[in-house]
Amino acid sequence: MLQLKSVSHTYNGKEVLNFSDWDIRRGENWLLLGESGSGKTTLLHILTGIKKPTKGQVMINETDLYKLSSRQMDRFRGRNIGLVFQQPHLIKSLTVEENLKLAQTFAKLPEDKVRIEEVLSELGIIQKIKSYPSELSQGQLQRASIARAVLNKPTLLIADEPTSSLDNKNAKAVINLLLKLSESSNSTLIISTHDDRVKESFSKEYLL
Amino acid sequence: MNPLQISWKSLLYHKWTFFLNVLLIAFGTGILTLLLIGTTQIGDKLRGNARGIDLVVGAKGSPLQLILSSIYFIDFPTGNISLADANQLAKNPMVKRAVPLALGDNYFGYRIVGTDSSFINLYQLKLSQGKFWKRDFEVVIGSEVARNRKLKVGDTFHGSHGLTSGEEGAHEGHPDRVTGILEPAGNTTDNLILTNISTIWDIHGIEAGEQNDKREITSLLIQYRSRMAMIVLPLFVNKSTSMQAASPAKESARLFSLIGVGVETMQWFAISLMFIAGISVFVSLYNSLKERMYDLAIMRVMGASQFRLFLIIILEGIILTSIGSALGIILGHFTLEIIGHFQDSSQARLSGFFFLKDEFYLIAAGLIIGILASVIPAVQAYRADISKTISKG
Repeated sequence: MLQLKSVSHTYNGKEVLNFSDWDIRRGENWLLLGESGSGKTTLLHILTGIKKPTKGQVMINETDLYKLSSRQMDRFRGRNIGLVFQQPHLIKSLTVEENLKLAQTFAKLPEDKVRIEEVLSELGIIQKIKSYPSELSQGQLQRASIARAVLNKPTLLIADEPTSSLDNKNAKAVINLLLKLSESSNSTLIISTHDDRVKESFSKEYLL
Repeated sequence: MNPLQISWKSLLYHKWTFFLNVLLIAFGTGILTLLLIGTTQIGDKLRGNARGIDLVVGAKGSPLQLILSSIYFIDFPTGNISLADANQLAKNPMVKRAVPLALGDNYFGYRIVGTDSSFINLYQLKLSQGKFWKRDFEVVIGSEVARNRKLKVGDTFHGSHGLTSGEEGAHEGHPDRVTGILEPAGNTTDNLILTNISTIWDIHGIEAGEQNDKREITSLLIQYRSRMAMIVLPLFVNKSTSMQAASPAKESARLFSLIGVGVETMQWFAISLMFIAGISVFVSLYNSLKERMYDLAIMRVMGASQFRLFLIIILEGIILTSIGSALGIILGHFTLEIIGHFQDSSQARLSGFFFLKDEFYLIAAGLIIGILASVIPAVQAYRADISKTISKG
């Protein structure tokens, strides 16, 4: 489902990051481990199609990601990849519902209010549907940004250090949510972390 | 959510900035609209009233004053000329038509003009009710006079001495009787009260006890018979008689150039206001872009194309300036209507319900300013590096 083939990225023309090949099958859950600064975020951005590697090939579902035109890539990303950021972030001028609608329209999918309510209910923040991001707690914001990532049932769900700013209890809850949601939307999950609390839930690891 | 909705909500999020920018643009456009429709109306009125009049002959003094008092009925006359001199000039072969005017009285600020049927022909006046004056103390009133003073055919009133209302007490003695009301003509005649010259003489004759051989009128409106007269007649009047001749075309142009300086100053003021508004829109968008880079990067991650982001930012500029210029145009019309309402001289009343094609250029100018002000921020949004923006957090 996802193949990484002899990818390397060069920073400022000297620092070279080499990534070993990676083969992920549909429905597998992976951990991406590595110390801070080891290139975890860079690799995730390469997988997401927002950073073109200097060399190598990324294949997602038989599509060579970096052979797509800029526009095709944007559309592909909107449809197939959900990204959960380290810091949860919604667009401030729009309500939770509008933020989610945006994810649908940008992916060129029809606006589907039923699906939005379904995801928000699953994440337990349906009561915040009409709220603006500034009215949400940090935890609710995190859930809302997860809702946005899984809304279009992406084939690939990527989370970049989703637990780094959370306490034990919340970290556990977020991991469980991600696992549950990736299963219900039939997604392949990749979580990058250097957090030991996360490790026990995953059997497959990719080490940087 | 289409780009328009996204831009609109983003503008509303910074509502005070939004308000300030709209206000600046509205003021700039408002002043320009006011000047545009104001000067056009003044120009139209100046030309409309002077149509068919080649020369005005009156007592010596300021030629502009003579034109203002005899054609536009705003300033005071320069004095009187003797009827004998006037009649002699009227018989000159170069003169096709000579219309005598006798001013001196008013009724609530509406000037009472003593003249003859040639005035009716000159302005091609038509009656909406009643008939033209035949005897002394019979008057025909303009449509505005009838409307504002609620006068009907058969009503009587006493005029007052002087040319503006409240100057002196009303004349006592014989009242004037309305025999006819004119159709609206869209020029000064709407605000005049017309009668024959001897009515004016009678009123003042009784008061001043003047002799018949000293009869005077205020001025003479002249139409040339030939183009030759254009050169010869003014020279003849100014050199060989005790009267002066003034050309309405020349004096109107002079008057307009006097007003023109003020208009031009205001125009530049309004244009600089628009320029400042443009810069303000630019600075607002540019600054908000810094804090919105992350928002924009997330939109890209969600699948928005570069062009979509470009469009969202450009639309914000366009929405701002089009709302601003639309409000400005309304503001301009509204202000002119208010100015017209409080205007002193009813003869040159300006109206806000006056529309010009040129106002579309103001809207277009607003749009162009909006696009120019937002194009740099929009290009930045287009070229933003998503990966870098997200990594920075």
